[in-house]
Amino acid sequence: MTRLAALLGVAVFAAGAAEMNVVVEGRAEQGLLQLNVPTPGIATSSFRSRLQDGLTHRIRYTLTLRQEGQDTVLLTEVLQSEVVYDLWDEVFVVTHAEAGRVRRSRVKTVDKVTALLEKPRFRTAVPVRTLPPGRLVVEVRAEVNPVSEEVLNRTRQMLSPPPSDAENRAARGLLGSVARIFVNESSASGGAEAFLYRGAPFVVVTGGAP
Amino acid sequence: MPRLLRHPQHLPAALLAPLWLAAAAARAQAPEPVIEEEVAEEVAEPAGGDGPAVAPRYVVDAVEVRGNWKTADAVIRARVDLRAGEFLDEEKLEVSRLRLVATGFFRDVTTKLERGGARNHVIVVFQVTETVPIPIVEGVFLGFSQVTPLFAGLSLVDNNFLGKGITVGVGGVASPRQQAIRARIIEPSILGSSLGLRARLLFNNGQEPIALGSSATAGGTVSYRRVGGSGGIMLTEGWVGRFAMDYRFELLWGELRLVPGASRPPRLLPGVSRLSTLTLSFERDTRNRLFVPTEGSVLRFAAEGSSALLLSDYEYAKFRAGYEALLPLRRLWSPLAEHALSLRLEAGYIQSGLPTGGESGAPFFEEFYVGDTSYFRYQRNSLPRYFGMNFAPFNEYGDALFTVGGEYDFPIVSSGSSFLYRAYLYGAWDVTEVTRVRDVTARRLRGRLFLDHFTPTFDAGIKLDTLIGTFTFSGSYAVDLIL
Repeated sequence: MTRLAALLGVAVFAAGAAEMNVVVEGRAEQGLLQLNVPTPGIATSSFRSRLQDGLTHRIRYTLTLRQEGQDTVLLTEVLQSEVVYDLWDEVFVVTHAEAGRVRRSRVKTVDKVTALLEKPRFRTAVPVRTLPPGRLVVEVRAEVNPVSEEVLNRTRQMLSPPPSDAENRAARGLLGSVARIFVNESSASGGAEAFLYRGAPFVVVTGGAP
Repeated sequence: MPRLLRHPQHLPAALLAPLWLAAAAARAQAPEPVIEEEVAEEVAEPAGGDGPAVAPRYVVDAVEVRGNWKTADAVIRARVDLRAGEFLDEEKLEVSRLRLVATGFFRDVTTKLERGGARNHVIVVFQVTETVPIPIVEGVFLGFSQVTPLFAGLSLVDNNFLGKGITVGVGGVASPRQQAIRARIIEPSILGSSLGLRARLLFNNGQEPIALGSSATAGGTVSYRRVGGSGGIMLTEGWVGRFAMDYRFELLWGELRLVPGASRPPRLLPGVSRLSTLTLSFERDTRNRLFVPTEGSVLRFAAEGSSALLLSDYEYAKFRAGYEALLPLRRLWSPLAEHALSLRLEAGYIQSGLPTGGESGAPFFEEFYVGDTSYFRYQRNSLPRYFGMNFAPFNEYGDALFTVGGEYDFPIVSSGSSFLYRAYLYGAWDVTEVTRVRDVTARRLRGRLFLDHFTPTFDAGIKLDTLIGTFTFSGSYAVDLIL
């Protein structure tokens, strides 16, 4: 996995990103499409160990919906989950934000946080009747603690090569230009990780109200 | 409050239009965004309080640094953008953490909050793990040529000298007849500001042959010494730009022993002379990482002036500009995300000034040299200069430089062990021309440009990113040494 690349927001889904096949449930809720996509393993042990540090932890789920066998993307939906541990109340506040809606849960244990994060619900604003006939497939990309563009920009500045002698910049030798800076990239990435979940083809259950 | 995100803009608009219209109609009927409370588990609200429901707004009681046994607290705190009494800004906290990581002083930096003296007051803790406090090898130089049986050199740097956050580097290269020493000290950030200072000392004791006819060495020799130093300020502007201004002063001693008929001798005033210059430089670096970047670019520009106004015995202005761009292979085909393909261009020009009591033009060691930018080639008559020292028999310098090159890096290890992080095979090419403008304008080199210096050079080897640093093993250089 490209650890610093993950930090810089590039190639997060390059070779090495965790991929998993999952079973997706699609249903109509008040005529609108709702998708339940399990994301097992998204709360890694390192992520879980940091949950009680009092800081905000984020997971950004990006769902794409396609018709089976087609490349055309029918829908892109972004769901962002945040977990904050309240140091005084000793509870986790888990917030899911999606397309104009916010859902919030307060739970006591890391296991319950994990359960919430591994079962994201995508409540889209797409009427089920407008979907094409046949089976659909979804893909969910999940980024754990993604780094904001602002932080990325500032980080680029900090990681730029240290000033060096211009006369020695081009010098090549048997060992060329050797170490210039000690940077533990995994540390710099702040644990940023990416996952890819591929859903099996499914049919939307339209038993609810039209 | 989290931002509400939705990114349909990169989807094929025409194909999605029906869905969008339907979704828009549905939203038009929907009320304003609502907050739904889902109580997954009943939790008692704090007594008597209506504390924040999501991320409590904390007040920083104190900032603590733990785990540092070498680096001074002040060095760490200067890079932390949080103060007691402020409201906690998590983005500032993360930027501070990354700033500490980027120093290279620490193997790991983590942050956490602890309860402070009152409700919603916190102690911010930076837990650091220091790196092994050994100097980093910047360069190892080794070789021989027709004019020296052996030359060797080493360059070391400590980016956290005595735990003070100051960079101190020393290096040297020597052969039986030539020696060079460098020492530098850099304060990259004064009190955590964007302003930095740097200074450098140099010493060169050199001797270079002068060409005569077809012989590169029969024309005599030029012996010289350089003693001096430079000092300057650096200003980091925005997130990618760095400006610098440096003043340099050197005392030079030169002696020319010319054989009659020798070709143009290197420019250097005989006896003792002064070189005094002022340099302005700018660098814009958007590359995504230091070791084998895969995206971004770097632009460099430098202008250096030497004049009697600065008490210099040499009148010239030197300009140099370079640009290197990484082609975003990842966007072409995702499996190539870890591959790197770069192209670079560089040009330079030295404008000789009026000889107002001094010498018009730069001393020869300030001029452009083909080996500085090109790769190694067989029979290596154009080795790169190390610390300004030329160990090759080829010493034709020029006042104009143009070079174009490229490099391709093929990843062989992209998620390695705790020691070997990454490894690449690389191939590189370069075409460099160093000449004198007056020769070009006089068309004396017409037709020779592409046949003489303007020849492609190649290199191939392996690059390693390891726990103890990054290494580049140049295959062509090794082959050249053996053959």
